[in-house]
Amino acid sequence: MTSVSFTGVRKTYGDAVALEALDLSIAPGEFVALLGPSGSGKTTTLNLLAGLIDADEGEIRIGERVVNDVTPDRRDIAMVFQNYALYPHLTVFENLEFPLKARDRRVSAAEVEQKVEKVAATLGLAELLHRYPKELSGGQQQRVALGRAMIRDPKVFLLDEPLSNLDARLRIRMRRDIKALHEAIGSTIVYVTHDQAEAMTLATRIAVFSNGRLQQFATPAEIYSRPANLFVAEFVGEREPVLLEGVLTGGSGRMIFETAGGMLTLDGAVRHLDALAGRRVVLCLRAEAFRAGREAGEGDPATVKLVELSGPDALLTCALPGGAEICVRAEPNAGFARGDGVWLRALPDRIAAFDPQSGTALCRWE
Amino acid sequence: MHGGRVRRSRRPRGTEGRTAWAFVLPLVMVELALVAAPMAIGAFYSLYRVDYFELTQFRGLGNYWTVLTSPMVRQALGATVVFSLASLGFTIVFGMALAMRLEADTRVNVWLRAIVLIPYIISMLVGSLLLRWIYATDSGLPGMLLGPFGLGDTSILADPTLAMAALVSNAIWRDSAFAMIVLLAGLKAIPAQLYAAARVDGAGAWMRFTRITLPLMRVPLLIAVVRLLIHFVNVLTFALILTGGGPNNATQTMGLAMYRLGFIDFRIGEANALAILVFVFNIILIGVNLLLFRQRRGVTP
Repeated sequence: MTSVSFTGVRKTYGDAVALEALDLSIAPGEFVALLGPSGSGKTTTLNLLAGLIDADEGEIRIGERVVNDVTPDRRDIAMVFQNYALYPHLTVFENLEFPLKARDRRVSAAEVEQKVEKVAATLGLAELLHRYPKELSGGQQQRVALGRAMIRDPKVFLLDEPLSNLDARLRIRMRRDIKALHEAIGSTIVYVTHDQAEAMTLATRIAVFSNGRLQQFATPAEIYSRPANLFVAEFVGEREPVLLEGVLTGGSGRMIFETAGGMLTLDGAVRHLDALAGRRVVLCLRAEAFRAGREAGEGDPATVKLVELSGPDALLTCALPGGAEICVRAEPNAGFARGDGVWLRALPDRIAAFDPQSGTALCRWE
Repeated sequence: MHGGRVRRSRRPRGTEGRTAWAFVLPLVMVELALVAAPMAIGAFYSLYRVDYFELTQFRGLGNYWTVLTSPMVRQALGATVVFSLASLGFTIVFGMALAMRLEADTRVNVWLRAIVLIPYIISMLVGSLLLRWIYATDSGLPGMLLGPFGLGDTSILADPTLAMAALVSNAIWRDSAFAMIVLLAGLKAIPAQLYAAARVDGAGAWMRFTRITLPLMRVPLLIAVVRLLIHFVNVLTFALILTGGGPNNATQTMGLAMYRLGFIDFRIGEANALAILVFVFNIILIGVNLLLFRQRRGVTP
């Protein structure tokens, strides 16, 4: 178990800034997801940590050691690549033993065999040791890639979108396997992904990147419910939240949010919004920030425009009297249909407010 | 009724077949006229004594016997083996080095690739003439460079070993570019991630080359080897222009021997017999290479 830290790390390619003054410090044994769209700097960060590219400025540490000038093979890391990067001309066994033999030409055959067999047993590859990578399924190749990383018992695992080439179901299964693996071996893991669901389910903390900048580094729960800015709010979550711009008025337990498309009453726990009375803000309205009911007087009236049923719940697209549309989660057997009247009660502690110009979060959570 | 149905069901295939033939036929005609026919005529001539394109006497396999036992042919065979193997080895090594050096698509590399290709693109005849001037005793580079040191009379093309080296250098100079193109395509097909993985796994540069690059380059390497070997065994221009086969036939390769038998000594029958023998040898060469290909096909990227 080893810590990892970046201090003021910057990387440019010609005029293009790939990574801007990154400060990030990862505790020993953490599972950190680097999340962001392509070109956001997350893979650059991983490659810098692996030593595959060199930083222009700043300091990268693995444990106590500054590794800026250390070659990849001496950083005591292992990496799993997006396309697995299995050596196609070598069998599974030869792929697994490659890191051992590359490091130490004189390693004994018995030791190699013992280690390969141990890893193969852990990952269920024992039957496949004499196959070539192209004779394996995607999930099996994935496991060989993991095995090749595990065999050296590295201090830090680097995983670069390891699940993106698998089909949806297998991805969810492998997700669970990787999580179990982390809990079993306890190593520090840095995991690059553009899939927010993967980051949310796997990571102990998530670093969200955009345009070469770290936007927020926090636990999944915090990233989801208290995003640092509008980018994070929009990027994280199964479904994009509704963003409405308007003015907040009132205070002390009851606020009114007025927009061009209608108004919303925020009742109850609104203390994080108190200081914003009279300000123009953007509210991030997620589907679970509302209760949808049929009884009059509970919240604000709206009309159901669209009902999308998914297994566990129903998603209602509702229009406020002024025309603004909001998505709301409801019980699937509540029986809402298009055209029904609905009363929306906002749950303010699930609503975050942002500055319309800069997009940074305005609310003060305690 | 029955016949009609059969005809109707066969018609589309018929038209398709005809269209296919229409596409292939021009090439088949060209192949027949320019390859098969001359070869048949050559095989026919090889059985006769031919004086100035007139068949004067049937000799059966006599021409073949004469050719096979001739000291000149034996010497040409030796020269061809030396020339082909030396040229092949150096060309592949240089081609590989060039390909690896010029693999990245930087602006400099794109220009360098174009420059490297020049010897390959210009006429072989012009290239060999250029080299003949360069190696010439009086006007060439050696005289110019070594003259001030009193070594101005170094004569490359008059020394049997040096002349062979010059001939090999001509082949390297021209055909390394061909090897580079083939091998460059192979190099580019190897995913960069494999090298990144190998670096993280702890493989040094030499190990990455021997354990990743070379095994994954097997097919492009074989293609380059086969093409170049056949080319070197048959090539005429280098020897004809650069050394003329001299000194004392030291650089007279099989191609040149054939040329001399036919067009200088006018022993058309024997020249044809030799040509047929070289043709058979080529076929064997191709067969051996194809066999090598097939044996380890399982492990391509």
